[in-house]
Amino acid sequence: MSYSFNNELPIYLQLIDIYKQKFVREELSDGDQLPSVRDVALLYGVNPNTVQKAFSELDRDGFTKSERTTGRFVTLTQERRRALQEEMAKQYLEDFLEKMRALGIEKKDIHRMIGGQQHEQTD
Amino acid sequence: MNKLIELTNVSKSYGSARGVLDLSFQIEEGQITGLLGPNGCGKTTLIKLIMGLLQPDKGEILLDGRAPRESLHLVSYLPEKTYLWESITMREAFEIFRNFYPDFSEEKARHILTEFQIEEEAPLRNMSKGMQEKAQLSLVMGRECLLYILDEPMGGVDPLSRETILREILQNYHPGSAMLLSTHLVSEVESIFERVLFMDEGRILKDIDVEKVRQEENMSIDAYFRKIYKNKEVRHVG
Amino acid sequence: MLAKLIALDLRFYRKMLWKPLLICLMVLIGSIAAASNTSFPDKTFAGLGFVVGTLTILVAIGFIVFTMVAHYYRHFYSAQGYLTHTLPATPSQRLWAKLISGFFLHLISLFIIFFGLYLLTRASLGPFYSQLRATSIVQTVLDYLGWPAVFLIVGLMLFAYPSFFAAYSLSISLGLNKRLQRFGGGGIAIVIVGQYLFNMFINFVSSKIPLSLRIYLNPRWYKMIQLVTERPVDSVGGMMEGGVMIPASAYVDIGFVAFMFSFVFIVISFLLVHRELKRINLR
Repeated sequence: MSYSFNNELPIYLQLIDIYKQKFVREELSDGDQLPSVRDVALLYGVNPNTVQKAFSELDRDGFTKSERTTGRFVTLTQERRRALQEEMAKQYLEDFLEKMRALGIEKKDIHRMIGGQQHEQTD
Repeated sequence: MNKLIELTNVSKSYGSARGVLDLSFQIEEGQITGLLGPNGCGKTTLIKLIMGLLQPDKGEILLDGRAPRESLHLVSYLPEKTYLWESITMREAFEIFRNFYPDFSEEKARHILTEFQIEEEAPLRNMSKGMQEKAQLSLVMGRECLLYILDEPMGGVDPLSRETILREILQNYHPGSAMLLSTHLVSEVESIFERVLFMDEGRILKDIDVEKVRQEENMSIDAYFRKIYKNKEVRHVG
Repeated sequence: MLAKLIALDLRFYRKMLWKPLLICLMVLIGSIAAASNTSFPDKTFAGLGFVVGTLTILVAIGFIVFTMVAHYYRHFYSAQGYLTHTLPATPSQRLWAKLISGFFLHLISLFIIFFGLYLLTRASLGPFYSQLRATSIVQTVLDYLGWPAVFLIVGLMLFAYPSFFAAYSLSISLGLNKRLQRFGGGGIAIVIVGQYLFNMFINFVSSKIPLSLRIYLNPRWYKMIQLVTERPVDSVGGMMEGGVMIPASAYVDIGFVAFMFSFVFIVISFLLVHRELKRINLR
C-alpha cells in the first residue's frame, strides 16, 4: 500500500481527486480502462465500497462510463480535460491562498515568493 | 440485503462481571465492519457469542438466519488465542483444514504463509508469538467463505506484517461476504472499514458510517474514538 | 464428519502415546528376556523380570488412560476448544467421536495387558509351562470356567470402557458447566465425589432389595445368568458336597438395582454431557 490517505477527510473524495489528477495528467486518457474496484481497493488499502462510491461519482459526473460486461472506461474529451484541469487548479489555488492568509502573508509577498521559487527551480 | 449476523437483545454476564448487555445489531453482506473499544469492553465476549463459544443469558443470535451452531461452516474465525498445539506444523494444519473445510484453499494459505516467511515444516513451538498468530491467520484467510470474524488479527504483529494482513483481508473480500474485525490499532486499519461499532462496558456506544464521520466531524476515526471515550470518562488502558 | 473427528482424535493419541509406549515396549521385551533367564540358581532374574514387566504393563495402561482423559479435557476445554467447537460438526458428533476413538485405545490396552501378561508368564515359567498345562490345577480351573464364562468376562471388559468414559466425561463436562465454573477445577472434583457417593448409595439400596442377578462361574448356556428373588450376598455361593464345592453350582450374586444402574448411568451421563457440549461456555 503505497498511498497514505488523510484519515481526517472522506477517503472517497480523496480517491476521486487522485483519479481526476490522473485524467488531467493524461495518465488515463479517453477510452482507457480503469482497474476494477477490487484492484483499486487492494492497491490503496481501502474499503471496496468506498472505491465504488468514488467511481460511481466519476460515472455520475460523466468522467467515466461503466459497461456491465467489459468494465469501466474513461470518457473524457480534450476540451473537458482542460476544463477539469482549470477547475482543479482553481480549487488548489483557493486552498493555497487560504493557507497563506492563515499565515498572515499578503498577496504581494506571495508574488515575491513565487518568483524566488521559480529561480530555485531553474537552477 | 442478506443479514449474515443478527443479534437481538443479547446479554451475557460472568457471575458478577458483566460481559455484554442488551446488544442488538446486524451485519449485512458486503460490509467490512470494525469493532472498537478499550480492553474489557466486551468485544471478545461478543465475538465468542456469535461463534457459539458462549451462550447468551438472554436474546437471540442468528448467523445467516440460523443458530450459530448450524452455520459454523460459513464462518472463518480467528480467535484472540492460538488454538493450535505446540507440536503441530503448518503442513499438518493445512491437512486438517483441508479435511474439515471444503472451502479451504491450500494454495492460498500457503501463499500467505510464504509472504510471512514462515516455514511449513516448522513446529509451532519453534515460532515466536507473532509468527504463531500469522500462521493461524494463514489458515483463517485461506478459506473462501461468507463470513470472516477476526478478533485482534494484528495483536502482536510487526508493522510490516500488519500491512500484509490488511492486504489479505481485502483480498478475501467479495461483495457477498462480510467481515468483522475487532482491533485497538485504529489508525492503521481505519481505511478498510465502512462501518464501525464502538463498544463500552458491554454496550454499543455508537454505530457509525465511517466516511460520514470523516465528512461531518472532520476527524479520523482514531481521533473520533478518543473523543467519544473521553466524553464517557472511561479510563484508558494503553 | 464423524470419521474425520475420530481420525483427528487418533492423530492426537498417536502423538501423545508413541514415545511412552515404545519405551514401555522395550522395557517389557527386556523383562521378558530377563524372565526367561532361569539359569540363575535362585531365579532372581526371572522373578525380577516378571515384576518389572508387570509394572511396565501397568505404566503403559496408565499412559493410555491419562491420554484418553487429558485429551478429552484439552480438546473441549483448553485453548484447543476454540478450534474444536468451531469445526463444522454437531456436538453429538464430537461426543461420539470421543467415545469411539477412546474405544480403540481401550482395545489396545486390553491387548497390551493380556498379551503382555501371557508372554511374561510363559517366559518366567519356562520349561515348566508345558508341564503346567498337563497338571490338575489347570484342569480344575477349567472345570469352573467354560466358554460361556469367557464370553461373560470379555463382555465385562468391553463394558468397562463405556462405563469409564461415562464417569470421566461426566466429571469433566458437568464439573465445568455454567453453574460449577465458578469453582474452577473444583467443579470436577465435586462431580467425582458426587458420583462416588451416589454409587455407594445405589449399592446400599441394591443390597437391601431382594432381587439379584445370579451369575454362575461355571456357566452352561442355559444357566449363565438367573434372576433370583434373594438379596445379593458378597461371597461366592454354591452347593457343597463333602466339604468341597461342586464346580457346576458356584455363583456370584449382583444386586439387580446396581446392575441396571450401571447401564442407566452410561445413558444418563451421555445425555448430560451432550447437553453440556451444546451449551458450551469457553472461558
